[in-house]
Amino acid sequence: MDEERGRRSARNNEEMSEIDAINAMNAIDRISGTRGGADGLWAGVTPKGMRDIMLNGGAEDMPPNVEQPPREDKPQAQGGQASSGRGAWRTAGRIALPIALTAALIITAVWGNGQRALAENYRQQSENAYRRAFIELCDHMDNLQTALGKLRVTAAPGQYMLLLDDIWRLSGACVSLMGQIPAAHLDRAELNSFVVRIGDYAHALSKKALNAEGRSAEDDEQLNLLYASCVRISRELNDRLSIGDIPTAAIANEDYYQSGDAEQGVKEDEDIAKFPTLIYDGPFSESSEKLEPRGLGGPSVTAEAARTIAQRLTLAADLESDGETGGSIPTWDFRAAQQDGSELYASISKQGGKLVWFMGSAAGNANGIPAEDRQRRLKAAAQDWLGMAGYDNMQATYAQYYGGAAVINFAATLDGIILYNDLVKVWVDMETEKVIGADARNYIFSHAERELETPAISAEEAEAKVSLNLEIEARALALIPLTVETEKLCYEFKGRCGDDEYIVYIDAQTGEERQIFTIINTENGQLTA
Amino acid sequence: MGKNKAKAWLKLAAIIALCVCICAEGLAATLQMGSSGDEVKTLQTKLKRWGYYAGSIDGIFGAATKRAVIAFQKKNGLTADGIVGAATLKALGMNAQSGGAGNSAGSSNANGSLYLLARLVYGEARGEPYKGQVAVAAVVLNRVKSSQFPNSVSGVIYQSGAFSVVDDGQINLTPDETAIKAARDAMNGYDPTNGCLFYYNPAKTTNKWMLSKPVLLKIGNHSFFK
Repeated sequence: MDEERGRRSARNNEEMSEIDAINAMNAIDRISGTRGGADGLWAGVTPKGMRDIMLNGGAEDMPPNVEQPPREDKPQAQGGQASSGRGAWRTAGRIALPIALTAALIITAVWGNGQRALAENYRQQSENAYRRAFIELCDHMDNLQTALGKLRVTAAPGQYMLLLDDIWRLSGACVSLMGQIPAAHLDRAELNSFVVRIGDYAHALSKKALNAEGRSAEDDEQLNLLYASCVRISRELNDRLSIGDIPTAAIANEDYYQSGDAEQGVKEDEDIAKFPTLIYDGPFSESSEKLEPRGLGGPSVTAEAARTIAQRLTLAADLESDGETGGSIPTWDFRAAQQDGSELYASISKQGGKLVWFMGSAAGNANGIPAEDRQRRLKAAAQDWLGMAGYDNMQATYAQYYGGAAVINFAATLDGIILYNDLVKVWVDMETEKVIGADARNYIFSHAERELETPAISAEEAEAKVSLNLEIEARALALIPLTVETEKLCYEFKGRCGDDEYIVYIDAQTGEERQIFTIINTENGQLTA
Repeated sequence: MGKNKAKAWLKLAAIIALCVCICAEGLAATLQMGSSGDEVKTLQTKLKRWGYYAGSIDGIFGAATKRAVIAFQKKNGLTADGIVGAATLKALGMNAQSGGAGNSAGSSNANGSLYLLARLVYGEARGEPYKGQVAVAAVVLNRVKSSQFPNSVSGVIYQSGAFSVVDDGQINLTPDETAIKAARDAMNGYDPTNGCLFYYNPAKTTNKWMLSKPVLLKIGNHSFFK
């Protein structure tokens, strides 16, 4: 406001309104303590006068008509001596501008100081959080090292389990803390993997112990290596802590990918040597992260042949090339513009020419479970499509209905046994009841010719192993994934406990309870967890 | 002036409409003095478990139940009227029964992760082709599954420095339908990236490490790699 006024008076002296002018003059009169003079007086405002003006917050702040101007001033201002009056305006402007600017500067300075204090406060708080996370990480790594050490010398099964449990918990806590500390991904990734795998490995060892399998000589050797690495990491971290080298400055996206070492190639090799490779079967094990698809056979196909396959399966008229994708399942990619302006995408594996996935969009936007006859029709449409795509013996398992489409999961069956790993998801438009998408990646990864064992125990024997709290409603035989690399033939029991639905899997060979799922009924369909 | 008045009236009308809606909803599933049935039993069980109610779980909404409800409402910043309406039901974690499938006592937080993922997609990839939006969501989910990264969606997204939209607050924008659908499709298994863990915009990055990695695919403005 002040600034605006000041600028106005400086630029448009002539247009200054009468009241403004009088006020300004009065104010200056008051300050200088004299009145009556014209040009000479205005020009003679002393530095002290300036200071006063500043302290008063500028001439413009003076309320109008606080002091009635003496009569003799009026004619002077209104034009009796026009030329000297205009000069007065000009001078008033010359003073008002610096005043306004100074005022603005002071206000900005005060405001800026407040902002600085605020920013300092925030910085301190985030720094505290980072510091806390780092110190806690050091503590946990210490404890992890201790637990690993004890694990090597314990002989009591109870103690052994407790220690494994501790390691599993500490590893999880360390990973969570590492995610909170600002550091480049490249500096952290290997350590993160290592700590994740320690926990994963401990979990695998607990499972082994629960199955009354002892620790192998290999395990002992791995534990020794793990302990040694952990001791080293823990010492490094604590050294950093003691010299105060704690990462506390928040990092930006660009820093996240930047590493201290420019020669990343060299560093990666060193890192691999720094952490021992663990051999076990768990979700984060190295072998599972390097999993190769089992269901890709057959000769490789050209982009043209792939386009023909895609055209047949997606029913899209003019597919154009959308490049290719590398990785574990290299594909030819295609796209097509749809009538409604959306796009359809499809990927065909280069080897074997299999549809990996295709994704169109639904016409409507409906959510929620449709009426039963419609559900049946949607399922039938999906089943027809699967037949056309060469997937025989598929059984619908779960479905979700959202965004105008039904997503129906189909699992392969073999002699009436459900193979949950061999999964194909099919998207069906709820309005047009046409297939608009599919995802066969899981199937391609896991499908292989299988020799299934015959169950060693009967369904009745298995049922006897199920908790009495479950009211069993259905039973079946199923092959379920137990870890990433192992599958088990199990009896599947669906049932209820109170209002909740559960699925319990009993190993068909040993009668052990292998897995429990709970079914979550949502308004959009069923989920399992 | 007339315009302002009209606006004021409009606002008032909207507020009244809102109140009516809320009241109507409240009436639809209200438990109060004199109510009885399984709902009341559930209510009493919950209140008893949390220490607001000491009486027996008989399924009858009596004076003791009302006192417990009032205590619960006071503690939770609700209108302490002793009537269990929509807001109180929600605070109790009792979903008003709308019939049909929504009767599972178990609940999941899948929706929280989904929405967070959708916000990231919207921040990072709005304006990209749909495939590119699903791909960004898939990268997050691939990171969750990787040992190199935190093991949860929120852990991956809020990892310090990992996503620029988290640094500059764009993550808090409200996602559009497309972003939500992309997040959900990715959660349902769509992965156009074939397992990629990183992506970058070749026009914007000068990072040597990223540029040195073999690109597995390009979608819109983003190059993806493992």
